[in-house]
Amino acid sequence: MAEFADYETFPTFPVYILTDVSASLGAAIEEINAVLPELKRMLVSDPIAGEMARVGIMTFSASARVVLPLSDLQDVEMPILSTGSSTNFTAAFRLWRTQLPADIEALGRGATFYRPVGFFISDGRHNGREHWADELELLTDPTWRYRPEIVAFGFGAADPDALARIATRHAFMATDDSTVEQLREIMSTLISSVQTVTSSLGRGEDPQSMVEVDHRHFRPIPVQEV
Amino acid sequence: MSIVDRPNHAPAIGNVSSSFESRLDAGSAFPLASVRADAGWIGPDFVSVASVVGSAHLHRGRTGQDTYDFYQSGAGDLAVAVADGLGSHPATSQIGALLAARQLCRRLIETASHEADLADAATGAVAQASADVCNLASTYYELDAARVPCTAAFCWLRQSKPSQVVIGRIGDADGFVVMKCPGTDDHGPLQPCFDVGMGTARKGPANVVKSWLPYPGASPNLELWSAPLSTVHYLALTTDGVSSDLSGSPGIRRWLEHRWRRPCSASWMLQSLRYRRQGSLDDRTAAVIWVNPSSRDVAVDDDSMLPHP
Repeated sequence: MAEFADYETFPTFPVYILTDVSASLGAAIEEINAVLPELKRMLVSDPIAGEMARVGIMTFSASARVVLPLSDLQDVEMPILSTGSSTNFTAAFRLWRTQLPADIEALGRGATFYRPVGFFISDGRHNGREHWADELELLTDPTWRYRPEIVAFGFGAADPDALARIATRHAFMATDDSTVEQLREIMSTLISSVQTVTSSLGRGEDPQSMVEVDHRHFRPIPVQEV
Repeated sequence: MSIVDRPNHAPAIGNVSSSFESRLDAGSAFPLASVRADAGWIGPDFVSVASVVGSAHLHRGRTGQDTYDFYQSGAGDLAVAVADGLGSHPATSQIGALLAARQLCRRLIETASHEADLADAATGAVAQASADVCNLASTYYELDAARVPCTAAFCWLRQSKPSQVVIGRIGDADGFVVMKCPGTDDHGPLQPCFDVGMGTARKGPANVVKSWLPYPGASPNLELWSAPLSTVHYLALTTDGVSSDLSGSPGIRRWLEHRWRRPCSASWMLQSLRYRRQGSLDDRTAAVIWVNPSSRDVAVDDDSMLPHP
């Protein structure tokens, strides 16, 4: 019955950023690159987030890849992202579904983890050959112990209906005039949201504590039950 | 400005921040004390219990949500409970915790004298306590059951023959026990009464609680453990803020086993919970009950021994 850890483990709040880096982002990708160091500075300076949050970053275009495995940001350099080609949600969800258990189990036997939260960001529509719905369903299966909460942000030509299906709690479309401004607001909201989420220590259903957006820059999208 | 506190010998494990601040929740309608502790003899047993608000709550200026209670019958039976309000209702769940801890103790004691089967008795007592929480929350606080959810662990020491101890939990609070080694003055290590795998890769995320009080209708997932009272050296009830540290940190486990090796004062128990562990930022509550200890000496804050008068 005993599950006492044999070595030191630490309670962890896994946070993932799953971001579109398709060619359509163009120069706007520099907004993401500019903000990632800000995210690191926030997490290092906030005592709660600094102790608990571990951040992983995955990008997707035609394929998906891990650019930062789940890490304590105090110990790493933030990656610099570059654009790819098309947009493949299926690859993104499939990669995340394999990465999650590997990351959690790497924390160690007996390590406490909180339900992972992922911030999905896209400016376009899926145009891969495989439809993404099946892969998303596996990722968000209620019986899967690693299933994440997903907050979806869309900008540019993103499909609101797709975002509504992808998100588990909140979905938003950015509304500023240019894609650069939209992405800037998304990244700024992401930083504050990571801080809010990790400090909530919430248990049970508490959707109100997940994300707070400035409604001058975002339109909420009603999330669909899948 | 960071908190400056008196130095102590409690361990600091991992990368712990020195930037936590201390803010009081002056806007709460139902604030709990940031620190609370009690210790003393109850009949032949010694009880020491402390509850400390979590660093995250204090930093954000939110009231803690942990509490404890104890109750003794005229026949010498003892009930102790710890309870932890769910974070999903940060403004009100601590009321549920207060009511649950109290009513669990009272109902266990009231039930004990009438029932032969302790498991049945405990199950019935928990059901009655759950109904009490609903009624009291509604009557005195105008809160419905959904706004006062909490997890809880309790122990019930029955002195009458056959003397037994029953430990129970609803949700992710926990019970631990140190058993005597038969025929010797020695005892075994601290061990869990229940599966401590909550919040681990094997069991799933920590912030998904599947069972709580009060519950409408059907019984919650009540877990029970029991043993003859004579076989127990001491037992401990903890909220998940402590049990996750016990299960996830060998260093914290060694520290608490060392601190709880003998009956201790309230201030000693408080100091025991002052350890730092990276990511351990939740409220901490621990109640330790030494069963008819052979020594009447009590550990006090300065590590010296104070003889029982």
